[in-house]
Amino acid sequence: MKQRQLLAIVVSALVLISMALAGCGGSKPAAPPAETKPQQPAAPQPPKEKVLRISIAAEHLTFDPHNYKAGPDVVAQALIIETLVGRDKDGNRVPKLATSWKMLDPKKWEFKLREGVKFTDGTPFDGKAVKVSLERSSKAPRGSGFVGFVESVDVVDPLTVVLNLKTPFGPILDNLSDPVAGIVSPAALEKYGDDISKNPVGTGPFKLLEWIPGDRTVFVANTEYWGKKPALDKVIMRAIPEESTRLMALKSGETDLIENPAPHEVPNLKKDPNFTVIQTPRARNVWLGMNIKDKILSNKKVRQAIALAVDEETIVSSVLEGMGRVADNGFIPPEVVKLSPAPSYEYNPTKAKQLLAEAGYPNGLTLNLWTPENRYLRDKQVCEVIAQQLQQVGINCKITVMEWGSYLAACGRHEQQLYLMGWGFMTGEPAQALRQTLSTGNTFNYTQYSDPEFDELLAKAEQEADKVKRASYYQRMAEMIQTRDFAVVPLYYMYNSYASTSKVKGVYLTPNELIDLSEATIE
Amino acid sequence: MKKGLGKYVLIRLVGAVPLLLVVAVIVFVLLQYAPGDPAELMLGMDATPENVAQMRVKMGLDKPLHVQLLRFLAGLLRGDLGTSWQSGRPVAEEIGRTLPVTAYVSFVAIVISSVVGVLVGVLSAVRQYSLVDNIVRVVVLAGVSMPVFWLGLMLIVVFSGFLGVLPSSGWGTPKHLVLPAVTLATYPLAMITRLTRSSMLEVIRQDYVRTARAKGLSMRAVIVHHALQNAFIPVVTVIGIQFGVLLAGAVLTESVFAIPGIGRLTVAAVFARDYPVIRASVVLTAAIFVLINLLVDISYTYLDPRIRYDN
Repeated sequence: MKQRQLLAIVVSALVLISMALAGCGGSKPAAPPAETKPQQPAAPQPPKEKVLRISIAAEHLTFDPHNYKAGPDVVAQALIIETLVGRDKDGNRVPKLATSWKMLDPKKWEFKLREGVKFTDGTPFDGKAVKVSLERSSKAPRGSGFVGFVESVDVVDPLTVVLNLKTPFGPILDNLSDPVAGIVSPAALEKYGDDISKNPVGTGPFKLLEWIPGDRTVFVANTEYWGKKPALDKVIMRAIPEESTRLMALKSGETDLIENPAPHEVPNLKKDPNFTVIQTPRARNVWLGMNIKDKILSNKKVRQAIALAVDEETIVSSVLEGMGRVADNGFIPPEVVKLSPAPSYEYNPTKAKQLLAEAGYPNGLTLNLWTPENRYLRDKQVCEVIAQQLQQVGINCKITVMEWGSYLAACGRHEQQLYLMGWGFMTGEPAQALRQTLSTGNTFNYTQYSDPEFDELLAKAEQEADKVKRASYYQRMAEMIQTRDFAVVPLYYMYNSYASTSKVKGVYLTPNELIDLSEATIE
Repeated sequence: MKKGLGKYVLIRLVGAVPLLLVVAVIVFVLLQYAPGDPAELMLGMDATPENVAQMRVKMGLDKPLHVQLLRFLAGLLRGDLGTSWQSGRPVAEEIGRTLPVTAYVSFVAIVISSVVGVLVGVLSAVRQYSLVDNIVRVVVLAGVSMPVFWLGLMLIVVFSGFLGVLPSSGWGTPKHLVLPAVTLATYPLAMITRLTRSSMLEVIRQDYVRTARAKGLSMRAVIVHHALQNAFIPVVTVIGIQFGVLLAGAVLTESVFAIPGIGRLTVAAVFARDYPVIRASVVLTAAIFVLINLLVDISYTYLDPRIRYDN
């Protein structure tokens, strides 16, 4: 009897708890996920709002384009805020808020502005707006890294501005096409100050409706947009950090578009008619760096041997499962500058062994290899494969895995010999990457590469306005750091990767990692 | 309220202030030794050394250490937790946004695990070595050993994927609460069950239990009024500790279910070296433990009349 009573207590407690949970859940007419299952054909109904629900991996932190913190910020900002110069799908420059431009002299550029454009708060877009935004960005700690070349902006008339540069700056148009050079409403800037980070006002195809940090951000179409109006009425962005959960949200119909589906799931998604995988080249490289001031690595033959012993093809096919492309254009991704001939290394372990013997290491040697974890796609695994490949020619690698913040600090002390690093060419120009990672004495120059000719070429490239001439400088620089001095071994370039239900059409991912929704729609 | 309890609580609370200050100093000092430059991390690798220097001034990192420490402690005493370097929002606002979410899930989880854990634990002890007891012991072992990460994903696969009855992630409706709460409840549930069982086993062999039975009291009366009350003291202690652990934030569970809780806030702050948020969240966690320990100590006086705090 007693036993039964106890059991009864246990069972009733369980029932009570489940009722409490289910009860409060059932009291609200929450839409069951099943309702939006992709496999169910949508019933004919009156035209309703076209809402695109996007699940990204990390939430944006600010809408202030001039002080953005990380990649997700730029993605969210770019839906709202526009730049003077735009880029089309092939990466070509196109007029956006500026309709034309010309160089008056190497330190003066004139821009004609688009007529009849209004910010979403009603403020007209004019020269004053350009002046306020660009001068603000050029002084911000983040913005100055990209548009710090702007000394001041003169408003000639409401639709003409002249940018006065501190020094001649060749890639000016590329840098002005980066979202960090976004033009925000001067009235909003005056009203909100730095709180523009929460109250962005731009001229773009969408405007911010609400932002609940940690939960969701809702954008609505800007019905007075000057260009082609977006087909979507609303975009809801949510961050789901966990890869598997994100995929499950897509499969259960809770979301329409997800960022970075797990690579091993991509083949299944591609086969499934209910889903679409969207993959486009991303201008982001990952390379193996060598600390050339190190005692062992200061010997060029050792560096050359390492370059010959790494097999990029295997890394891309076996570790990345097709989510990367072999770095066949060298350090600079082909979306940025197409080099010809591209500097590259053959895979030749025999020759590598021979070089090591010549360098005085016939019986092999030991090097340390540092890698961050979860910074780049499967970074640690990539290094494990590199270690195996180097083992084949007699180089023993001791791998050290570090969290990103510690990694940067440790690399700055130059105790590493080999290390993994990547770079996003956000402006569509290689000058920034080459300066930050390979110019003499730069903080992030972990190779400790230092060559006066390289530095001079870089300075020339930065001042040269002619794109063809600039490309020839980059060609030379790429050859120097790779086939002449063996400072870096470019491994792979990445892809943008999203997956959507097959109802979503027209989503495009740009090489600089933005989501272009101008053509996007949902059936 | 029991005699002397008010004074006791007051003394404990006043005593907690220096303790929390010591915690604050320790976390401040430890962060100074953490590798990685917050300004450099915030600006990324596009930054020039001048940009980084400019940012350090903006963040107050250019000031001497003792000035930074005193500013932090003075702010803390005034109740000003500073501003998050990452989001630019006041830290108090960030915590005010995330702590209630974590508190809500944790509370539901701890209620589930306490109620079910105690009942199953008692049942298991009373019927030692029975079929029920054996099943309970195996399930408890599984519960203690199961990685929450895996469990959470499995629950999503079953309830969102196959059955489609619950949302896989997010926050807002009570439905969003179910899977995270169940996931979070699993470990404390197993712990509480195991402890209740062993504690009960110890108590029901005591003479006074036999005496009570000999007096002719029903098994149920003996268990509820005599045995359980005495067996409960270690159980309450563990419930308190587990609740504190849950409140400090369960980053894995919060990540799997994309819940905007304090665990994710803290871990993101650690990776970004967002010192103001890390400091506030560590001090807050310490305060939560102080408070829960106090509540546990107070509960003792009700469970065991011999425990008094009036002298």
